[in-house]
Amino acid sequence: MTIAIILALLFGLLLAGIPVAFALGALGLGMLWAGGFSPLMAPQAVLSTLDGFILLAVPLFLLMSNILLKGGVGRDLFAAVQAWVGHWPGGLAIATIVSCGIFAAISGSSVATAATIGTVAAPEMISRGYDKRFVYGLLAAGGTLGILIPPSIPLIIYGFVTEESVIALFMAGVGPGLALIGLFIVYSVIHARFFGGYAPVPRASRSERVIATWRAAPSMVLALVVLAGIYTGAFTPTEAAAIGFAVALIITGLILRSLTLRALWQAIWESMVTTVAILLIIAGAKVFGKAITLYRIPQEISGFLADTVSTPLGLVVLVSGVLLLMGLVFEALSMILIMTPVLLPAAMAMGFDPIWFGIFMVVMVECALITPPVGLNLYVIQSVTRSSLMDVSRGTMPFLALMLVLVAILYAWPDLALYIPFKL
Amino acid sequence: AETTLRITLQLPLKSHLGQNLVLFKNEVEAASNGEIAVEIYDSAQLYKDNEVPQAVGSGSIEMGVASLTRYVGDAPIVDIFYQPFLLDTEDKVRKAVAPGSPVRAPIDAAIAETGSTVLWWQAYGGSIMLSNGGPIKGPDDLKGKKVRVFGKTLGEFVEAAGGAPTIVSGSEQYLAYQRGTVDVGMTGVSGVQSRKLWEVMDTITITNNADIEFIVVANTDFWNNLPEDHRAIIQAAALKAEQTVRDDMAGIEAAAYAEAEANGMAIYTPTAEEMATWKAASQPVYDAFIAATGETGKAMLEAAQSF
Amino acid sequence: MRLLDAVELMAARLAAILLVATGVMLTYEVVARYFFVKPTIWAAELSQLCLIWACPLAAPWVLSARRHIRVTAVTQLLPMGLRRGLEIAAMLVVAGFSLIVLWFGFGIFHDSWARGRTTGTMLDLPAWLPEAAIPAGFALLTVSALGNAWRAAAGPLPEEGEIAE
Ligand code: NA
Ligand code: NA
Repeated sequence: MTIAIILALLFGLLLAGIPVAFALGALGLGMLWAGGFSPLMAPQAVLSTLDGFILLAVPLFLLMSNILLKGGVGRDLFAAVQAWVGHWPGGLAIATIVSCGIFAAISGSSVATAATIGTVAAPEMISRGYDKRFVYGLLAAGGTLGILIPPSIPLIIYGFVTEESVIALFMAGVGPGLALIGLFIVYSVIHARFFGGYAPVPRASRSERVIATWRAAPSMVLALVVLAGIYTGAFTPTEAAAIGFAVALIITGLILRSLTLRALWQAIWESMVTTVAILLIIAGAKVFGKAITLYRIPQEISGFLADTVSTPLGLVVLVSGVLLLMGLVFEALSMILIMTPVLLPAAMAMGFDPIWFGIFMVVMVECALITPPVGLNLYVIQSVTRSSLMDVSRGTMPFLALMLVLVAILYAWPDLALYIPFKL
Repeated sequence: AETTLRITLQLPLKSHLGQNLVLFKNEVEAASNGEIAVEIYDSAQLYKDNEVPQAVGSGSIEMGVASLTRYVGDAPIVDIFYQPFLLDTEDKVRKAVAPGSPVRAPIDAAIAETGSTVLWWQAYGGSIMLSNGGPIKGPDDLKGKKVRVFGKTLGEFVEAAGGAPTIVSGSEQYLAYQRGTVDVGMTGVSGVQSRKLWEVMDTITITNNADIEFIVVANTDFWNNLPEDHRAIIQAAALKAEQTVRDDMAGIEAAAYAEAEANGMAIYTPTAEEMATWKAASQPVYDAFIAATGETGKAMLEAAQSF
Repeated sequence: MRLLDAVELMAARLAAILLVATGVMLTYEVVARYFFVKPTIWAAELSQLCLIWACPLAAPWVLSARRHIRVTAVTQLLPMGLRRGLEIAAMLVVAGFSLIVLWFGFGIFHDSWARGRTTGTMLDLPAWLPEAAIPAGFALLTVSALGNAWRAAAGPLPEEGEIAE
């Protein structure tokens, strides 16, 4: 009963349009007060959130990707990939997916990935006669690679709340990220074969390829350096983000000379705004999290799940269903922050690896990003292409199905995620 | 229940500190006929280790477990336990932590100043060093190496020995060793066991360069307002818990060493000469401790050296 | 109102600069460690301090610019009058929460200040230095939220800012 009331209150506050951070914080504070617990927990939770060293990586990865974005790197990347694979059957679609994958290795956010690649790829694909809905779906879904392929802000946050290794989480995202790229490419080639209708792109000349690759090379090298640096232990995720920020400045400011001072300040400003919005939600969720812990709600839900489902498969199916429904109206961070403390204990009791579970959560969050009515990537592609939410949403359906296929593969073969961090 | 004691703990319930709390809970609940309920919030669900002193001192929660060194910001004397090689045998540790001893008494008194009352001490064991390709026999083996530390005093020690101290959190330890972010590890031996560190490091050097202690504290106002008989029950259970974990510690450590060895780790005990070199290199740390803590610290250090 | 806008903007600019400073310090840290095996003792802690101050300082501007993440699926379907009512209620919730955080956050700061407590970390800074960020930022946030409630009561609602992540 208590759980039902709290859930109703939470949904009510969120849907009433109270900023998520404050809806969570205020409800948590109210629960602490009602339960006779100390309200001191509220400022303590805010302070302890901001005091997390791993969360320093959030503003720094944002700075890195925003600076590259303002320096026009998205356009360069797409041009380079297109010069190599554009003439294949469905080549432009493949170029779009691969560009999303590469940009995902620079950016920690799916919205930035969708916006960057969407802006350059959508007009190109549509003018070549690709089916519009296919284009919208591809871009909205391709953008979600941004949070599966490291760096990833949701994975940093999952690591922060569960005290799991962010390095391990980042490495665990690589395999599933590549698998999802593979699934998208296979689907695109099939779509091109059977639904065709687009005008093929002429094969790029050798010199075109060289020039385009040369321009995109520095950012690709940066992505590799950041990833390799984290993987080899040369630096922590936070330090990798700082290095990424410094090198992004060098690339756009000194090498490409594509970054004006004005654009730099805009990049800094945007990073600041996003950081504050994200960290305050984490702080609010922490207040709420303490309250539900003291009300023993995670324990009760854990017990309920243990009584209801008896097999790991049952748990994954049930949890996927719940997250899919919740993802219709919730955005990424709230889902991770609200659901992780509730679900992880039950999952671990059933023998799931916490790193694996983090990757599973992120794939489910990717689904949330492309399901209506609330899906940030839908909004991004809608505004980039000036189309209707309906068209974009319909276009994403096949890709949503592919993401659920990925979940099935992950369940059947956990090493897709766990091999790179722990067995390589 | 008339009284509810909520206890926050950083470590999981299955750790030996968690099991010690379960013992306390069972004792208290049985002796009070259910008048006192004990709720344990393990795995840092409510507070991380470094937040516990403030949380308990302010009355935000009734009780908590914190590693002793978390009080160093309030009372620098607590780092007497991190003075290199000072309390390097079980016998010396037992003398130091005996209630009312010249080492423990000033600490309990200083912590009382923060609004918390120390109920009991939990033994965690000695600090050891981890390495690959041979033991760390002395300061020469630390020269130019990056060493994982978990606190200011340990950092000063590594610096005095010629190494580069690097803070690495518990959860990133495994990968930091595997990937060589640091060259030398430092932790309690039970940490080697719980995190399976033998997969990434091949040698343990039993340096006992610091003694790791946890304390269980209660908010003082809350404590003073408890009925007399409840306090007596709690105190009796606390005493039993303290003795149990202290007596079990040698066995817990021995089991951890055995498991590390079974998993292929070499275990090295430094010779008397090597220990002498270590201690000589540590003099700047003792001096800094006295400088920071004055007469009180000096008296504690001298008492500990006489054990 | 204009004074409030100016103060919010100044605080947000300061926050942006603090975040850039963290990038500079941590880059220096990596270079110092890898090329000179000489890790700094200050880079990590001072960066953390910058983050602790940046967020509460910038939160008021972010609130007024309507850039905090919120769920608008339902509210955007409602008639203007109801939307305005909900907006005022939302801002009062923000103000109430901020006021309580301010009140108890000040207690935490004051306690450390009075005791002369330090962080006990490598740098051993005064503990109140990070703790003061909470009352400072949430004081401004309380005022901002009340200002926004006033604005919503007085005129038409501005467009929602872009949503992050
Ligand atoms: Na990414
Ligand atoms: Na959705």
